[in-house]
Order: sequence, then C-alpha cells, then structure tokens
Amino acid sequence: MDIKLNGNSTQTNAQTVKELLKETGQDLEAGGMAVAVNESVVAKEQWSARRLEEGDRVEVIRATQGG
Amino acid sequence: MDINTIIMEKLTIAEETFESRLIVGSARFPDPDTMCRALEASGTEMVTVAIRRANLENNGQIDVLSYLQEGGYKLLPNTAGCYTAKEAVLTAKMAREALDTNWIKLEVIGDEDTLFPDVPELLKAAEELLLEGFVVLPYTNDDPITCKKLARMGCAAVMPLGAPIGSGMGIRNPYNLRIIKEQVDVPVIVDAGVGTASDAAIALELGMDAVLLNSAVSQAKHPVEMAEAMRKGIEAGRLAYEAGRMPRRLYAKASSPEEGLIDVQHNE
Repeated sequence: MDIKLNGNSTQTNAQTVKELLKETGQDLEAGGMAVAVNESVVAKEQWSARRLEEGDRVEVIRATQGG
Repeated sequence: MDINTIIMEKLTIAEETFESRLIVGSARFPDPDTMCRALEASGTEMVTVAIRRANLENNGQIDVLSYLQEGGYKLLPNTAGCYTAKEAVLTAKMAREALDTNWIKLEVIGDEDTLFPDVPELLKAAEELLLEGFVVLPYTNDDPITCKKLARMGCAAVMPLGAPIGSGMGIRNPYNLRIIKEQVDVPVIVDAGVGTASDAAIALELGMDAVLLNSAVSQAKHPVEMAEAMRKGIEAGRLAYEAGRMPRRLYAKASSPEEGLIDVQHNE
C-alpha cells in the first residue's frame, strides 16, 4: 500500500507500525524514537497492534543534537 | 566564614532542584567527544536535544542520546523549528514518548531570519501542553506581559531571550529582564543571546535564575575552555547577585579614611 513516511510517498508491505519500522531497518530497542500516525502519537506498546491503512501519514522521529 | 562554604543557592524548577544554573544545548559541537568534555566542564545538569525525523535510509547517525545518558544529564527536548502551535504540540508529544520526560522547552518560531517567537502561537501551544500535563519551559520575547501570561497559565519557568538565537549579542535589554523577574514568581531563564562568559555573569547579576546557551560554547574556538568560563561566569554572577552590589553613584567617594591626613605647609 502507499503511505507517506516522513513526508515521502512510500510503498510498503508492512501491516503495522512495528513491521514498518523493521522494514526501514530501525533498531527498535534503541531509545529516543517515537512514531506518530496521522498526527497522533503511537505509544511504543502499540506499535505491533497499530495497523496501517492506505494513505496514512507516518512520522518517525529521533532525539538529536539541538539547542 | 570558611571560603569553601560559600556556594550559590540552588535552582528549583517544577520542584526539581539543580546545583548548576546553566542549561546547555547539544547542537553544533565539532564532535561528540568535544561535546561531552564541554558539557562536563560547564557543570550543567540539564542538556537540550532536538526532535527530528529519523534518517530512514541510513542508521549511521550519531547517537547523541547514548553520550548524554552516559553523562547522566537530564534531557530537555525542544520544539525548535516549529512555526505553529500544532507542530509544537505534536513535537512535544513525540518527545515525551521518545525520551520518557514530560519536560519541554517550548519554541514556536515566528520567522527564520530573526527566530523571534510567534507569541500568539506560543501561548496557544503552552496552554495545550499544560492541559496535557507537560512541564513547559517556554522560549519567549523579553516581554513582561507575555512572560506574566505564561507564568500565570502554569509554565514552570519563563525563558526570555537575551538576544536573537545564535547571535551571541549578549543581554540587549537588561531592564526588561529585571521587570520580568519582578513580575513573575517562576524561575526566569535567559535563553539565547549569550555570547561569552561576561554575558552569562550579567544575566545572573541581574537576578535571572539561570541561563540556557548553546552556540556560545559549541561555536567557540575552544568549546571546553569556554564551557569552563561559562560555569565560572554563572557562579560569579549569581554570587554577586546574592552578595548585593554596592549602590551606583555619579560622584566619587573616597574609600580611604578622610580623617588624619597629614598637614603640609603651602608656600606662596
């Protein structure tokens, strides 16, 4: 299906947030990461339950250097 | 009094106590090792981080978090780069999820040339985040009215700018900062503008509770030395404030005794 991932149109076979993160090679155990789908935060405990739908806007963020 | 017992009063924000009155940003250091050494030299206990889209193509990003967690710093995520309340609120919520902290340095920027805050959006975002249970530390103009509103709303501190972000122009409006300090009953933290150690000292001498800075250290020729200078500037400024400075006067006042001067015969 087609989704928007961090602003880019992306084709994915992932059914859930967790599968999507694995598909993009994210280290799920690394701290400092968060996910929002359609402007709602998906808590880490919900990553495997939260199903993705066509057209979803997914944001994956990390904490990084900042002032 | 033993000189070693003279220490500055501690800083309390939202019932959390800090020995250091310096908050340091983690951006734009030449390398992680310099950042770690500079943070240590600064004596800070709280370090800011930004929230950005993960690089999904490349997992080789520098993991700044592991360095900061190793150092035992309290992390203060920011909403830098947000131009609307909506963006800032979502960024804060993602930061809370990513870092397991409800503290947020709230920035809602008005335009990219000045990086001055967009006050109406800032107030809106602050209100929403407070309702969501955040400890909100808003970056704001050196405007007493805005600061009063933010404090009344329930923000844990107010963070007026000393000068534009990254400008290193120092404390441009000390009088407004003093008014702000008198008008709010939460800590006042000068955020942005500090360029060198004397700027930090001036902020604390004015009675400000703390300073948040980044570029002044990370962009110095020698960041570790500048971090040490900042620590000393902060301490000097705070102690001078606590000591209470002498009054200013226009004319001289001799410091040596005026009695007992010797007489000299003046011949015509």
